[in-house]
Amino acid sequence: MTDMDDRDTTQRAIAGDRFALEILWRDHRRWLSAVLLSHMPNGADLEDLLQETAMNVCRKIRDLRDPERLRPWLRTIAINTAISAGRSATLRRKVRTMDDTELDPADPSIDHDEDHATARDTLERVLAAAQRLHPDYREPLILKSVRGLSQRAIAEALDLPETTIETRLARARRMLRQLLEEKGVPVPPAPRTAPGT
Amino acid sequence: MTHPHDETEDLLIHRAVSMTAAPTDWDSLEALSERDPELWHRMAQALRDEGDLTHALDARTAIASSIGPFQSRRRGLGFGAASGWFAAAAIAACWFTTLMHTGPAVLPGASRPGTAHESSDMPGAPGLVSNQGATHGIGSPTPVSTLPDVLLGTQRAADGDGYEITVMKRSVEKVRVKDLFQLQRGQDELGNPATLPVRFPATNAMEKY
Repeated sequence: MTDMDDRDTTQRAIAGDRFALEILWRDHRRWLSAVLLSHMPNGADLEDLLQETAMNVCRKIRDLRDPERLRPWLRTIAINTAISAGRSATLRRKVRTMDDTELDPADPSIDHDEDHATARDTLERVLAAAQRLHPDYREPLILKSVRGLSQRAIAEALDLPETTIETRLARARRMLRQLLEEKGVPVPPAPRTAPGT
Repeated sequence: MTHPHDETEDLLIHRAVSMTAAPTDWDSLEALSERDPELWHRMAQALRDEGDLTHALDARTAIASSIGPFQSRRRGLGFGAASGWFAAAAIAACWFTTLMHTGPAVLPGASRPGTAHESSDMPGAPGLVSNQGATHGIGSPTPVSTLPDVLLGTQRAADGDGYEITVMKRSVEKVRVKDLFQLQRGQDELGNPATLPVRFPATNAMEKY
């Protein structure tokens, strides 16, 4: 989608066009989930946060005054959703404990194959290391790894000059490499997947 | 051992990994590598990290494609292997909570406009009801937890000013009841849904099922 298409769609969504709002969400939800991953509190569930973000976008789209600032506006909504989730973290931990009892060790979808488990561990370890970086570096790096998101789009979303983003990304890559070389990044538990998803 | 901080090298490696390196950047990388051949190792590592992170994010953010502003989300209850009475008890809890908040008793399976039942998630699971259902349990329900809201639908407001959003609020409560009954197919001679009293074994009742 070109910037002009994006602007037009945004304007129509603000005016109450439901179809336009769906298109906007579809085009932006992937990187918004990466923003949530960068900011979500421990124990939070990405799917729940995304659902709440979608709801908040829907509720507040009419408050968006400048369609040119769609990306930073969406990012703010996502971050606020994550912060709000953090406030009720204790409650969520309780819910998570309940959910964990649902895991079925005999579930064939659970990966028991050693090679696959090792590969998954590697990916999860890299993501966990990225999530340990300082927020200034963490978010650009995670966003950069979302397929199709350009450095310019990241700069626009974070409301920063592109040169600043480039510098932060360059440092973030080094910091990530150093963190992984330290081998101090534990493998996080496998993310939960809702049945049927 | 990590290489000493080198902003230029970081930037060049980043551009190479991001496929935005200009010919002059590659020249600079070549020049740097003559002094420090380990640079290629660090670049390979950066490429590897980038690939791993991209794949990890692909997997973690794939869920986004199932979520939309106008889509209802229907997650399974996720009881896994547990079924039968455990599932039935969950239905009973859901239904009982509905009764507590809506007044007149309607048995699971009976139709009443605006009443949702989860039975389609657990086909064949028998329903359980309490004989004290609509009016009271023993003591007040104990709130256990709340779950995030679920967006069921949205529509433009009739007057054109904003949207109307239908949200399901989810909460889990515990309440003690004196007796449980299992719903049976069919009706009794008075046309009421048939029920049978439920007797759990004295110990480890849930384990059995």
